[in-house]
Amino acid sequence: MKKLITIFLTLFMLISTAACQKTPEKAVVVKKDTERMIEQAQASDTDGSSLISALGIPDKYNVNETYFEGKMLLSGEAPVYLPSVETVPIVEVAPSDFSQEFIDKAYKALVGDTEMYQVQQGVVLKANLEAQIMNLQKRIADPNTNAEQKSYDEETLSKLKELYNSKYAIDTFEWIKGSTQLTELYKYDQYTMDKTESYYGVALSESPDDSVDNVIRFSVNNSPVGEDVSKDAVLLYENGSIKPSDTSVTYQWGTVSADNYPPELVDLSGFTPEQAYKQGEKLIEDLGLSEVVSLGNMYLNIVFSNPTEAAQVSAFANKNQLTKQAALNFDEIYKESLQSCALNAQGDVRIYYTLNYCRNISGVLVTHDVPSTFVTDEAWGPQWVHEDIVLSVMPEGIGSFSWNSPYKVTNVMAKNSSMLPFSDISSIFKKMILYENEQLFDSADINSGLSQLEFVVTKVTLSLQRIIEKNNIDNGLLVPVWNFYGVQIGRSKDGLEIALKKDTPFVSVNAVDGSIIDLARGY
Amino acid sequence: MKLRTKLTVFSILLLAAAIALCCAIIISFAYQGEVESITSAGISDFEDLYREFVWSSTDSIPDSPIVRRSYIINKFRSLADAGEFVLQKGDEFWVNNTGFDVKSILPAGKAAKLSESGSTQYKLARIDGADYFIAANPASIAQEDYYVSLMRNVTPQINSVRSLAAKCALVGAVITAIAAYAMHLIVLRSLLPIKALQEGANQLSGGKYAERIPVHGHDELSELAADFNSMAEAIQGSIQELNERAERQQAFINDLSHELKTPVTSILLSSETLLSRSVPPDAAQNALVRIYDQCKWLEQLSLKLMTLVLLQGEISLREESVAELLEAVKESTADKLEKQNMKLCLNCEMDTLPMDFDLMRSALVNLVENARKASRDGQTIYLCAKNNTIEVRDFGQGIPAKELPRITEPFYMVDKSRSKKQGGAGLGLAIVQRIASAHGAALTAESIPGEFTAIKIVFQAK
Repeated sequence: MKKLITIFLTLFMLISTAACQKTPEKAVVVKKDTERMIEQAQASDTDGSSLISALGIPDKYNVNETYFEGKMLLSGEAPVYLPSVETVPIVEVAPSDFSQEFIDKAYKALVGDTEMYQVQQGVVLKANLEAQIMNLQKRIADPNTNAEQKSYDEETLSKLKELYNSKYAIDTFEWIKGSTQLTELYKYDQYTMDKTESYYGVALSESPDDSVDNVIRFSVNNSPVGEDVSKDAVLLYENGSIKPSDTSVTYQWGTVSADNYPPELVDLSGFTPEQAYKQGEKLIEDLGLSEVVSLGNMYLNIVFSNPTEAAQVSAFANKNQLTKQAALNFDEIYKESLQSCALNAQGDVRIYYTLNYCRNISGVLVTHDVPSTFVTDEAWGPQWVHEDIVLSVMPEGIGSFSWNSPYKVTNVMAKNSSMLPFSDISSIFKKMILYENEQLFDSADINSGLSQLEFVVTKVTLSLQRIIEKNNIDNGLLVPVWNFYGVQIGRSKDGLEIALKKDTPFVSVNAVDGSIIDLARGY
Repeated sequence: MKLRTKLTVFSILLLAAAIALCCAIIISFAYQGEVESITSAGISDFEDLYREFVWSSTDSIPDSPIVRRSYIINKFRSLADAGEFVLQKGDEFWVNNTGFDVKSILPAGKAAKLSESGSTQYKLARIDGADYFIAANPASIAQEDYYVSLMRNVTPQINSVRSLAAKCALVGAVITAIAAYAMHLIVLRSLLPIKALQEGANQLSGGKYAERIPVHGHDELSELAADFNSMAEAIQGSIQELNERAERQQAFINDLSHELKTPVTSILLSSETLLSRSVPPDAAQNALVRIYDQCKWLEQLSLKLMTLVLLQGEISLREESVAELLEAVKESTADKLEKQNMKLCLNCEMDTLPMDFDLMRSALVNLVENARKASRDGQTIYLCAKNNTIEVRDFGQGIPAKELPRITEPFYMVDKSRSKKQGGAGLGLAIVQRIASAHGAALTAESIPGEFTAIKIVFQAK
């Protein structure tokens, strides 16, 4: 009997292990791409490859190349912007949230003693809903409204009516004294008020009604709670009483500095760039942001209270329909036009300044040309937003301060990165710009209309930019990156020329290993 | 180990083995299906990339090594998912975010399969607790050798099978547990009749022969219960018969002792008389005559007892003529019948019978003697053989109904005083009964007091 039971149990065990896993294998572990790059960057400094001055970088980048028997041209005599230090580090960074300590400091520096209240979330004023419902009904009733819009509006109207009849529609807000203490807050679906996301933050305002414009607001949204979420903590201060109204139109004139600005425009408000710069510096100091520096230039913004007058500028604001000459001289032409409109405006014209700040890691600025990098290839997938610190300074005071997606330096991977000579970088650039665009000449559709493509390099920079490993936004690396900016001109067979002043670089090259960086992917 | 435990344990083990086998087969199929899906997708993705990469990389390869490197890496990254595809030149990794040296897992010539195209090596491997699909193929671009590979983490897909296995195991365990409990109850209930049998056997061994086991249903156990009841019935009958036989034997011994006591007492008295000093000659003569008569009586008794004993064994039978038998009986009884002016009428309608001729004659003579003793002078006694029955009928005093069942008991006499006067010991019919039994026949008696008595020996039909 015992023998039989033993046989049965053995049989049972054998059968039970039928779906067992494969025998584990041994594999040689090797370094990943970023690890190899860091290793390369940490190479011995005996050849001077870590010194910027030893890389053979010209003051101006001259390039003149012809491809495809003249179908594609590359040219330029572009200034090269370098860090003010000799060496560039590589550091590891990780997304960070705003600490309670910083929030309190920022609140004190920005809001001061202003009486602030908790913004009530998850509810909406009936009066606001009534106004929205009325507007929608008006538009639906308008015979000029197209069918698609009408259908969309009807759907929206139905949702608003349902919301109006729900417990989330209130007559008045409660005025609860505000606290800067981080608490768990939620994002809500605007129609059903279902909680869609939770995060820790602060939501304060002079009015508990979030929709009121001309009030001071102070909010902190740390990164959402949970897995597979974007990294985009935000601290936002707005003074609605001094910022431009919704009906006004704002144009950015361009960069100004303390000693380089259009006096006629500045005289409109009597508020100089230097004054704005000092205000900004004071705030940065009050906030204790020692690693944050101004990007050097600030933007002069012009606010037109009369939209009609502002519309005159729009023709020049469109960068997509320019000639080559206009594109190359875009900045000048645009500025002249804007200034002319502003000075001749009948309506009220105000100016204010926008100051952009960025990190300064060992004397090297951290820049970015795209808003964020996506973790996966999905359009709505999690993303890691690039850090932005933007300050708007009005003659009346700080109009707004926003700090998006802060990060912390977790490790210095290489103090002085070993970099490739500029000649190699230039060769890579010249090859890659060809590779990136050669398919335009392969395509029969485009080839039938496109006769020539020209790239004119207008600026070359060396700065720190963030790269990540695919599917990983828990940490990244700030590495030295060469960026080549310029104007792209397309000429058709019938003589039409269209130029585009690109906001993003033609090519971004990793200064350490010469690899090309896809800015959207971040690697 | 008790039978119920054995049955339960074996059933559960068998059920568990069956469930485990089913689960193993299902999981095996699921695993194979998953592997096929992974392999098919992996090979397709790899070969698509490989073709695109090699084809697109043949144009305008830069001369400068650093630029070429940058160019090829960028081209590779633009086509491949940087997380799982690997580009290698010699021992140098150009693109590798898997963290593994694929060549160490998929070295040339080692256990790997080839795709249908015959060029891509592939396999599934488990490394550091994760499952990977690995495919690889060397590539030549501008006369330089590269190695392109794919190392795709397929742990979620494989884990789905593992999860299925775990669920199967859990469900199987739950089913086995429930079935075990149910089996235990079923076995217990099924073995209740055996318990009843056991109790019945105990009672039977304890002497309660009248107890029976209740029979329910029509299955094997109810048949066993019925058979047990039959056995108990038979045992009860045998015990009863044995008891009755013991009683009869005791009664026989008592009767024999009683029968012996009378003649022995008479012989002793007569002997005492003869041994006394002064006994007159005629008294002595009387005593001697009494001694002689009693000794004759004892001799007769012992002869009859001997016959009774001898008849307990088997006799050999032969086909003998019934008519001759009847004639022999008539001849043996003629003298005594003639003295009483009685007649013996014969009627033979049978041919032969298997018999011991002498014993049967002795039995019939005995019956005719009894008939003679019961009849008056001048009456007729009939001796008939017909339909396998030999009958002796007289028209004498008859036998009361209540005496009929006892007439074949040894030493039993209906009218003791008359029988003794006529020299009877009460053994005659007992001997006839034994002779009839030895021939496989039955002895029956019919009688109406004052009218007739018919004693029949009924033979079995041929």
